[in-house]
Amino acid sequence: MPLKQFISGVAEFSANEVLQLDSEYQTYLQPLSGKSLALTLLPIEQTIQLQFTDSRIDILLPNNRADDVGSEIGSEVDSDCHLTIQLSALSQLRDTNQLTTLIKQDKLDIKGDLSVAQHLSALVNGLDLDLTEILTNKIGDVPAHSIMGTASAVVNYVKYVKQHFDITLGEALIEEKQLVASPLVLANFSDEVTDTRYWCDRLAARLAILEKKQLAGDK
Amino acid sequence: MAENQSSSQPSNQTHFGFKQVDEDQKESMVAEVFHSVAAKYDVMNDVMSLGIHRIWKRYTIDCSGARKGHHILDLAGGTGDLTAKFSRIVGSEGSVTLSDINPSMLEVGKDKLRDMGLVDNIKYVEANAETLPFPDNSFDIVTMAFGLRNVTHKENALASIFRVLKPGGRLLVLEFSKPTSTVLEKVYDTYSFHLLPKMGKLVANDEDSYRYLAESIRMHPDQDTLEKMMQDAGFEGTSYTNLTGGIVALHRGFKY
Repeated sequence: MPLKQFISGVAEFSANEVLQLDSEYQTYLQPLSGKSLALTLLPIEQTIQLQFTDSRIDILLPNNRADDVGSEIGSEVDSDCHLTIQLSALSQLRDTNQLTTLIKQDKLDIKGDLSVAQHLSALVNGLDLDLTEILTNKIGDVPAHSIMGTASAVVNYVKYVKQHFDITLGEALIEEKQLVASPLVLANFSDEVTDTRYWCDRLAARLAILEKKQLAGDK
Repeated sequence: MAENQSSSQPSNQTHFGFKQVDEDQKESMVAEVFHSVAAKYDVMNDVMSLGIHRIWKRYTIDCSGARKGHHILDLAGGTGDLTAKFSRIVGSEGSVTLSDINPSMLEVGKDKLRDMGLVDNIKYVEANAETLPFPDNSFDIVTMAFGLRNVTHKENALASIFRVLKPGGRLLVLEFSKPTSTVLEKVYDTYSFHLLPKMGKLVANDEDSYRYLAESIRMHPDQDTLEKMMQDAGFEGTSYTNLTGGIVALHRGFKY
């Protein structure tokens, strides 16, 4: 079974389900209707094409065949806007203020109609997903409130357990097993390195002065 | 393989599953099968393949190179799975022609696509793949998903497709094929001949049609034979990709 197509199918289904959770989603999709955006991820060289209509997003993986000998990555892609981006910079793409910085750092290349990328960014940032309200419409006030309350308690408990685990693990590594240096030891070590460097500099300066004096005495 | 078996038969005989029938009977017999299963076709596809047919079809679309403004023929398109996606890709400047020899399948496809709000750029044509009623050089892409094995004269269908493709256009044939592993083949045979007809009876109340399905898959040419048939029809740059261990193969060829 082609794994990439399975993943793109799941992603497409999830994206459209999430979109429909916001009653205003068509307002955001309207400017993108009939447009397409291709995203080539580097260094894995995988192109993902998003095809927009006024009611849904289709996700395609054009030119995915490894046996397309001689074809360039994304050569079969015909989109209104084509972004080529380093995978590491993908998370910064959501903030349109970062675009210029990413381009300057050669982490992002944009070809075509930039407004498509801007409208997509507006769609992602504009989605208002109030889970309690969505659940209320489906199952009623009381069950929705109970579920969200329980979910919130579970999240808080998980956060507490994680925090506790981090502290315990940190103490075990630093104090008991002594595999990692504590912040205090690290700071002390840094101070000692700074002092050593300072004394070295002083010694070098003193040696320079003595050499000068020696040279003057010889003359 | 199947083609060799066909060639050893009397010239007016062909296979219908494992049975030998007159060539002029096969078309109506296949039509009867699909009339019978049309209403439950999508449900049965999901049940039989555990939904994997959707992944195979996605792969076909990803390999099609379809883009805005293209004119695409979805041959033996049945209930329009490929057509729906192509319709959104080609946009209002392009068109998708959903063609099937079987009016029941075409009607189910038409209803489904209209329910999805896809009406502007889709044409519906009831046509025999062996004698396509389109002008020469009409389409950028022709796809045929799970249809070729039901065609009586496959070489005629491939020649007809070649005629209607534009120079530079491509044909994609997604079809059941021969598993590449003997272990998988045995498991697949057991599933096809024992479980599949029973599932057909349970879900669609039609055991015989699904027995025909399993038999027709075995009689279909294997990967290399079909690729050779495409080359004989004039296609260049032919290749195929085995999917799910060769249970299905996607063949691709270009007209230059």
